[in-house]
Amino acid sequence: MSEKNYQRVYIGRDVLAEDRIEAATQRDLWTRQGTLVVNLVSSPGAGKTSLLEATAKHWQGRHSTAVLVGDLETDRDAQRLSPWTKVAQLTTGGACHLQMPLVRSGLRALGNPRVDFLFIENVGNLVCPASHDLGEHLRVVVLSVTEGDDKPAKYPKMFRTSQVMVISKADLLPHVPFEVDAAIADARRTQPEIACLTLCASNGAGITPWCQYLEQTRQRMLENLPCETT
Amino acid sequence: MHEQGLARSLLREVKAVWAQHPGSTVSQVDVQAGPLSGVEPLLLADAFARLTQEQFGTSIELVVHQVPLTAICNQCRREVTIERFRFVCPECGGTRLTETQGDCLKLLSINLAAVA
Repeated sequence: MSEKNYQRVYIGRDVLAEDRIEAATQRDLWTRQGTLVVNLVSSPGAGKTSLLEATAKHWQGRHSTAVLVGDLETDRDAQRLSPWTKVAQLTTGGACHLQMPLVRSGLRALGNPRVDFLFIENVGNLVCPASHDLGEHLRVVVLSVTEGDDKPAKYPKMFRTSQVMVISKADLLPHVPFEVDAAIADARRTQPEIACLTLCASNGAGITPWCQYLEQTRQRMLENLPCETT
Repeated sequence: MHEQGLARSLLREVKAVWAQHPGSTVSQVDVQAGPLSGVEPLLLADAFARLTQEQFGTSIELVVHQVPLTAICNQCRREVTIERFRFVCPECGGTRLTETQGDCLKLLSINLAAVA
């Protein structure tokens, strides 16, 4: 093929760059309206919905909350959460992770509420959601003790891109071979800055420190807001 | 499913470039992936081939260049290679590192050929 009818166009750009810019714009908007956004990720059955239920109950009357809950099918999680918080179910049909258009449609369904905390409960999956920024301030990976303490080593991208690891179902620790220190050490090899909390949503142990952690994070976000020049 | 989604995002980028070069056809796409890209190269190439076959009746070749994971240490400012996902600077022991390569799927280049 001659030079004349052939050319190579150099790009050098992240394929998801556009999505990342969109997510950053959305994050900025949420920051300015004082909403701390938390993207909860985990494998299926790690206890994300139970954690959200316990969190919303703990804050009843103190903080406004909303939850966008992603699942491949059913609205069971939304039904579970609806007595305690504003909630919209995002049914992905088969998609293994959430992306911004689904998040936006969920927010519209709720009337774009201005809340203190917005939780996005991602599809249960330790792989795909790691690649998609949803505009969150915190990505929280929930690891239940029944899954085994080797998950941080096995799924490095998810733990590398998370700011918090919640070890859930801690009441089962005496019955399963799970070393909390080993899980934390592996997570910190990949993400040295990761904050680690151990809790049990069903008996409430550790829920207060978890809620305080979120409150402090939101407080820091509000304090760092640039002064409005009117 | 994940690779299919990435293949769709990749094709969207390719089409945007292609649209700026009327009278051409895309003969090859080169991408870069690394240990934290969340991509299995064979599955991505397969998904891209199927997608382009569906849309254009002919599949566009995707070449995946695999690279090691590298990061810059925020403390000593050296660029280091990250082995086994251990994010500790081998030079100074610093733990605040920022990835510079191998953490995303990067579109490197598109080969365009003039339509005969």
